[in-house]
Amino acid sequence: MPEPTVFIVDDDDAVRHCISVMCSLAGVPCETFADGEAFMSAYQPTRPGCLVVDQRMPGMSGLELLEWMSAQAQPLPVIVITGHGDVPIAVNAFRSGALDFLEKPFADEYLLQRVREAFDRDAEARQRAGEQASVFTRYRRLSRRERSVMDLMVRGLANKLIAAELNIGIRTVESHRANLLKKMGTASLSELTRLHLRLQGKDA
Amino acid sequence: MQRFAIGGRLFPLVFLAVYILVDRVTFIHDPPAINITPWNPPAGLYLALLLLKPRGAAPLTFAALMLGDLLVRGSPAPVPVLAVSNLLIVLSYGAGVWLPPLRLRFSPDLGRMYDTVWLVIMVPIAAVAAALGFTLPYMVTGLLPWHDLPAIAAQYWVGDVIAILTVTPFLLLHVHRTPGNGPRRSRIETALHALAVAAALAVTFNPLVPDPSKILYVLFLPIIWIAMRRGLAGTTAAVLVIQIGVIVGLSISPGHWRDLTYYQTVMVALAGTGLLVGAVVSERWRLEISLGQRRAELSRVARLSLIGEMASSLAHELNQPLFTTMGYTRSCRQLLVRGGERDAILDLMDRATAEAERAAGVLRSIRDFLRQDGQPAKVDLTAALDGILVFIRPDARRHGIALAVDLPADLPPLWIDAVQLDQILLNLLRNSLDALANREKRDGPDRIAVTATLGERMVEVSVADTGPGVPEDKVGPLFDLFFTTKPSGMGLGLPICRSIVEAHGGRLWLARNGPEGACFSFTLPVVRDA
Repeated sequence: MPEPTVFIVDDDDAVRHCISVMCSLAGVPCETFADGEAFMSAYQPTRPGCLVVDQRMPGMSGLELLEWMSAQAQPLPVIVITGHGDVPIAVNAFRSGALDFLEKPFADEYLLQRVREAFDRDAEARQRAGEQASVFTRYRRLSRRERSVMDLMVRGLANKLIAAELNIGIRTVESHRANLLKKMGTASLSELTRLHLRLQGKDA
Repeated sequence: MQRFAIGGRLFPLVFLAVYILVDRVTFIHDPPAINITPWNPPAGLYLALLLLKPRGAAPLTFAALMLGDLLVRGSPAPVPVLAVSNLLIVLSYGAGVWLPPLRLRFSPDLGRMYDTVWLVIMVPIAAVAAALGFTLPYMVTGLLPWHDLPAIAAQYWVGDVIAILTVTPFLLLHVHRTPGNGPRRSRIETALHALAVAAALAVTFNPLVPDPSKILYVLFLPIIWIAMRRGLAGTTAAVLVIQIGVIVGLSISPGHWRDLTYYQTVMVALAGTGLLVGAVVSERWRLEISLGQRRAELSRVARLSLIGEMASSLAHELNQPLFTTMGYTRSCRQLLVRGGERDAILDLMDRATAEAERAAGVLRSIRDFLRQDGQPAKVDLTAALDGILVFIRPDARRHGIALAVDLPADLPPLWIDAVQLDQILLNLLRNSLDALANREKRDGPDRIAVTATLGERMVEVSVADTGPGVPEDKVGPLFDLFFTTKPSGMGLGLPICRSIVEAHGGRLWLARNGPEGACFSFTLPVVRDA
């Protein structure tokens, strides 16, 4: 997996450069962009990290870039920074899913600490997304009948009841059950329930 | 005049005593068959009471009417007939006060023109009901013949209407409430108003005039004059005085008593006209004041929002370089601690300095913006002052402050930006106005004087007031930025004025200060034709 990177978007040359100096001194890889459009064209969904964006910029504003980011399949965490913050802007930023809202001047340690938190968050999110993808691939290998049996299993039904529900023999249920557990790569019902929840996009 | 709290414990007794006294004094003429007077001031008393205290005034009014009839007027009618008559009177006038659809939005402080118009329309209508209510019981019981009804009812109507129109508004404005919101008038003018009333009465009632009724219209002149100058409050007093004057005039010119009803009819017209004109004038003053308040509020809000916007973008512009200066300095420190490369450290230090300079540049550009140099041109001080006084005069008039301008006639034009000169004059005049308007005790005539003396190359302009002066401890920081003595002031006026004057090569200073007033003077260059 590639190393997480801070993507900095700020129209002010000095601010951009200063943050990049702070990051490189702390050993955090960073890339800078003078405006939202430049970042958007360079954006690669597979690269992990976080986005630090200035709120007030000519052209695309920080909040607009934040909204664009939230609409992506694997959004990066976003830290909004501003020269002069007021409450409505901060509220809007958080409502659009910003991780944090910092008012300049802020201490470099604080920014770096928030950046590391953002990295952790991003990594977790990516891991979860990866797991979900692999569960989904496994689920797709199940036959139609096996899927029906699995749905009834996670609802807590015993083999006898599943057989009655699907109108098949109890032996057949037992063989489906063994097959689907193997295909899903698990041995226990509780683990299967967790995977089932993951399939529906819920944390377990 | 003594004030009695309406609703106080003694008030009913005092009211009855005053009522009987007024009834006794004014019940003066050869009565017709029953106790009707063509000039019935007691009606004005109880209508004022009914208007001020709609609930609870009825029993007192009824008691007063009964007492008056029994003690003063010696009515020939038996008590039950009197009681019915008086009850009908109370109900007639009460209807206009008690019934919501009739009362509408009337307020007894006569604060709006609407209130006066309501009174002038409602009283004659209610008086018709009262006149019929009072006289009918006499006809019904056979005490008086039916064919006397129109004459007696008409006489009753005129007597009540004129009494109410003269007495009630006066009582409402002068006894219960503080009178009007109009400008203060000088004693001389008040004396002239009194003189005008006296002269009009003297012209009407004197031995040279065989028939006063023919020139009764002369009485309209002082009423209209007073209404225009003193508004509703002054008019009510003048109308009452003229009414009393007419009664007195008639009683000393024998032979005219029989025409009293005719005189009273003219007086009804006079009172109605006067009250309406007075109400229009008062309404205009009221609007002027509320307009002034609205305007002041608006300009304050505009100023505050401008300041807020400026502060916001100022913060933004300053926070960027502050952030980078701090960031570069901290990074330098880290590099030094780690023993980083010399060139990298030097580069960061240079950048930090450049960013600090950028912050200084932001401040410099703001200062330049605030100190925008105007476009100096030849400006006529007299014309500029006239333009500014348009804004100052309404407030000055409201607070009874005299504005005196004394500029040399041969003043050459000044060399200054016209808008900036306006700014200086407006600031100094407004300061004086605030000082005079906000002080507590007034022990002399309030005055703001603008004078100018011409020197060799400069003219010295002074704005002097008779206010309390600048407190000793406030003189020092008077010209400091953001120093203010006003609750909603910003402390920008005098510093800006001083920097404008100094930019033109002049001076602005506190020339005189003390308990008898403050005087600010400034000098500006004049243009001498070569």
